[in-house]
Amino acid sequence: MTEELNARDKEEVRQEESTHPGRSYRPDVDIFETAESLVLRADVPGVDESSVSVRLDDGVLSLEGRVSVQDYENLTPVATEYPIGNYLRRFQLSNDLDPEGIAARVTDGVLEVTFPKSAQAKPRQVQVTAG
Amino acid sequence: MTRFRFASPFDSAGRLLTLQREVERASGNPFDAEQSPSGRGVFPSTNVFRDDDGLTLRMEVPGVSPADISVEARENTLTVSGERTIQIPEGTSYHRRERGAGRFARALQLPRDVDPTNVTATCKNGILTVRVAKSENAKPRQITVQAA
Repeated sequence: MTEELNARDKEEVRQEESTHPGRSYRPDVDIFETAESLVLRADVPGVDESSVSVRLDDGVLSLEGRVSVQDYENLTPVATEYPIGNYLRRFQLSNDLDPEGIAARVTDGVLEVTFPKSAQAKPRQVQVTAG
Repeated sequence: MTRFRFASPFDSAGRLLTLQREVERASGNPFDAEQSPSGRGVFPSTNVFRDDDGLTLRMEVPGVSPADISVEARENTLTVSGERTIQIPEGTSYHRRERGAGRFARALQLPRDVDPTNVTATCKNGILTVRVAKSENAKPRQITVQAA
């Protein structure tokens, strides 16, 4: 049984400061955890891999995506439902993530960031020996 | 440090603000064939633009593979349908879940001055762009005035 998909209104980011003028919006995200890694996926329609920035600064992960205005040249909006803008979202990360191994990619307007768990955070099987 | 460049980032930022204001001003119903009870929230969110050559629809479909989208034009109704699936590895626990999965279908009534037999669709970076060309009848024609 497949559910019907609904569109959500974009929420503008107001409290954050950005060096880029123009309005920014908060992308919807999924965060999930596997035994090996923590994965974050964010909806950033209109953004490609060259205009996305993933930064880890003092345990704070910043995701930024910049839309291209070029695709809108000579077009006059006549009826609009969603705002066009950059994307911005920040997360405080837990300490057991390995900042060295972060990988990010963008596919069909979805940014996926993968953090390998640091060695001590991975579940370990402890060998019980007969004594 | 370069302070001023020909293509300065401030230009594109200024253009973004201008575009944002124009898009806001045009906020309204993009001619749905059937009004949903809420009016809003129908997936995919759609913006409608015009230029000299016709109509451009831009729909937000992040995470939907172009292969999973179907665009159909029948008489003057344009239907966009498909499905967004979210795949996660086995043995996963969610910390946060804001992105939805499921099927979608949306029908839009095209205005009379465009040609429903002349439609193209492209999908890039989670944005579906559908172009409907202006109908030949709607294009201005110059009529030669002959001396009688």
